[in-house]
Amino acid sequence: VTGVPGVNHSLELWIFLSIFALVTVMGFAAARWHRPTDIHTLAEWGLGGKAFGNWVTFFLLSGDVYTAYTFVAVPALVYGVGSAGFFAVPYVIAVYPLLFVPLVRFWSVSHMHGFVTSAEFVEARFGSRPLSLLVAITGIVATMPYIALQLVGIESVLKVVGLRPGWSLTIAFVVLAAFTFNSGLRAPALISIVKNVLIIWTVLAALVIVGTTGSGWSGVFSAAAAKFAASPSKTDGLLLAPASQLNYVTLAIGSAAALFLYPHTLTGVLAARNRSTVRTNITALPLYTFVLGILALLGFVAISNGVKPVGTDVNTVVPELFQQVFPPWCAGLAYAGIGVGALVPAAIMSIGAANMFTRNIYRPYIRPDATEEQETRVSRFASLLVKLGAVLVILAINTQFAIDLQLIGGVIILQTLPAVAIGLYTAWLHRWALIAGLITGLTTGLLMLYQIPRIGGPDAKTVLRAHFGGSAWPLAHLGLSTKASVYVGLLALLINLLVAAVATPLLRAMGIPDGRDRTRPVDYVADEGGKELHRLTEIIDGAPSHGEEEEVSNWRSGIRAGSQARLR
Amino acid sequence: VVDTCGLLLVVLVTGAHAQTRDAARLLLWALRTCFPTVRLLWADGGYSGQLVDWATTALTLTVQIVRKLAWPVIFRRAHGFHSAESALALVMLPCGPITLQLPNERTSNRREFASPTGWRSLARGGSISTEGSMPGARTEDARTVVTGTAWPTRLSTYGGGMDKGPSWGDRGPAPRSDVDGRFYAGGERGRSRPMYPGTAAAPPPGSTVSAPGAGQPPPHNVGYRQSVRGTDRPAPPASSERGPWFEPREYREPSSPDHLATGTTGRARRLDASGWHWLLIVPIALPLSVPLYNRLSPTAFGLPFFYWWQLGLSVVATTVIGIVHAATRTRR
Repeated sequence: VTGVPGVNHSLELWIFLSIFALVTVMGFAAARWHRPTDIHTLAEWGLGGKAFGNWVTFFLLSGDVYTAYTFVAVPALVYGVGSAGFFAVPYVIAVYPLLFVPLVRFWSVSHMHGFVTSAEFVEARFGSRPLSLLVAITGIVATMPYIALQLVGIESVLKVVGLRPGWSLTIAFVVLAAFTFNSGLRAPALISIVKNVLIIWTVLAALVIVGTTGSGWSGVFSAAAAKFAASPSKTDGLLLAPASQLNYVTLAIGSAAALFLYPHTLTGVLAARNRSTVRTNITALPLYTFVLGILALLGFVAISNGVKPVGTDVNTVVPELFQQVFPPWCAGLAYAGIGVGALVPAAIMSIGAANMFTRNIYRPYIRPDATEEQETRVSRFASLLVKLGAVLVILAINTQFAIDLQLIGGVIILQTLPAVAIGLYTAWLHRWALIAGLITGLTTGLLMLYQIPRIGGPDAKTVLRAHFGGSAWPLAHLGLSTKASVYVGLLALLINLLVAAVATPLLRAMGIPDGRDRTRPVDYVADEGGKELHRLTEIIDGAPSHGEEEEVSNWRSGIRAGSQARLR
Repeated sequence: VVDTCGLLLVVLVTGAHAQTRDAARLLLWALRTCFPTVRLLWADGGYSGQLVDWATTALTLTVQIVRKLAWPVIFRRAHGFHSAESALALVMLPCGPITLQLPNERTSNRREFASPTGWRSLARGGSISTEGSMPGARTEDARTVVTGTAWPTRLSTYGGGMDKGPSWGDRGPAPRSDVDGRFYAGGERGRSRPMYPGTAAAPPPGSTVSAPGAGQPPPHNVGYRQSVRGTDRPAPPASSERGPWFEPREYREPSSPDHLATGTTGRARRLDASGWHWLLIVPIALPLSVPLYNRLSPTAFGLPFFYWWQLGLSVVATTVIGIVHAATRTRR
């Protein structure tokens, strides 16, 4: 099954390109999918009408959380360092039980108040526009390099297929920008179905091929063990070194918490139809982690197959592996899976960031009297700008820079946790304490990242770069005599929380007034906001039509049950 | 619509060309949404006919037509705290522009009326957006007017405690009073400010944001914006930020389930709290306890323990979350 180097990639290329064309058509056609009478509202364009059911939400969220970069970079990391790269698996397992309650609360309060972004929630909860602005800026800044990373994912495929990344990347993202502009969140929702089919196909094919060739997984792992034993680095291996365990755990927790805070996750969640949809999806999504885990193991498969990355770009390991072990048509499908897998999250991220710009910067500060239509237009153009910025980062600067920016992005988005996630539970924290905590967290996070050098080279001791070399901050900086390191984001978050918690009673004692909390406890458990929306027209137009009768009677019995509950 | 104390529950302002009987449907729907316990309404002869049947079938509201609705009508008000039977006087009068009374000192009262679920959802539905108006302002002054397609009239919604009923715009600003009997001259509080700034309104997908006579589609959600602009707020009379109309941080809405859950005093138990949620700690803690699984044997399918254990945890997570999901599912 091993491919011959220098083989003609034409079949793979044609499959890749035709799926790309199919996806483009779907992206534009998505605007007609459950077509609203008016797409010129932000809820329609940016949240798909807030009416996605279980399946669509599953595709959307899985397309959102499991990005192309994950599919490419996690196996590449496993290829490079072994077990430490596997952190993505505990991270995307722990994230769901962690978010099960807060995400549903967020859904409810957002639907009650019509929020589209987390920063809007913060504004309503803490009554502070500066805080909301800070959260929005942090969100946008953290998202942009993430979009750039999706380009890195596509780029790795393009390199292996033999296309020149420059213009083909540009075309890919012009297409992406165009259908996002046109169809809003409906486009990635529809496309993610294709993405999921392709990715699951790829994983199954990989399992079959590893299972039927050579000595199966045990052969793969013995080859990997031999490679890591030969390498001079002390941090790689099939198991975690004692010193790197803390980093593994903190990185998993930190990434899980950060995932909740990224605008694109919340955008995906808000598009769900009701609370039950969100909960069902959180229940089902860990199964997708299994898929990610198998893909991560492909890093070991690449080692045992002797795959060498194209040039110095270690992210090309997985596409190279596909080329070696898959028949061409299958490799073409796998490439398309990664490529389409990059478009989906990139589209959602740009929509999420654009919504933040519109709702938290444009409307409060630039045009307070903006209509819905103006908002939507601004969001559309903002999504273009965000993507343009990402393309420029990739083309003009370099890939490594994007990866470093993403590292910083994860650390800084985590600093919005006290306002957004804790805010879902309590409004006790003072608004100015939150601002102080956020700024302190950002500063310390960046300072700690600055202190981390990148070590590498053949002897694993050369300092490749003095600053921003990783996210594992050695505890030795604190004077502790340990080799253990800890994820910067989590440490900065602790400082952030500490500042916020200490400052809150101080500010209260000083008599600085709290912001007004506009949310009510009942807002956090509200459900199925969409119903009234439809019922309104129904009521104005008269008696419900035949199909709606059942709904009305359900609603009525719901009211009765509700009033009885109150009487008890 | 007012209750039996004469306190305002919901208001709908329409243009003079709108059929009041048609307007009543929207109004009653809003009433139903805001105050689900309401059972009985009295209305004058102008509302007889189809509306009565419709209210019965679609809203389970009984509308009794009375010959002449005396004002004030004294009935028992039964919303949450008086008794289970809700009685309501419905006063809908075909009228011209109405001067609306602004919220009074009884904050809780106003909240109760102005902010129940219904208005929000109504606003979310997009047919109505709330915006404050000047005391004594005529209908035309209400800045936010969002109409639905099927409802080509200008709508504004207000809620507020009233004990004198609507006052007519033609008579100029009416003395405003709160239930405690304190009076404000119209416009005493100076600048226009959002009356109930809490409603973020987004026009629904099916709506056109247009109003006859309004050249520019009105800004939506302005009240919301203004409300949070801290410093732009008019200084409250008591010069503390928690002035009378600033709503308390915690308040209970009588018609909401948490009213029962929390009781009248004490810390509120979160509405979605459940002992089952503790179970979620298992799939959080297991993937994070690295020393537990940082070893190679036993292997499964050739995978070292470290790897198949973590892959298997995804199934554990799904199972546990599934159990919690099923156990805490709200019955409909």
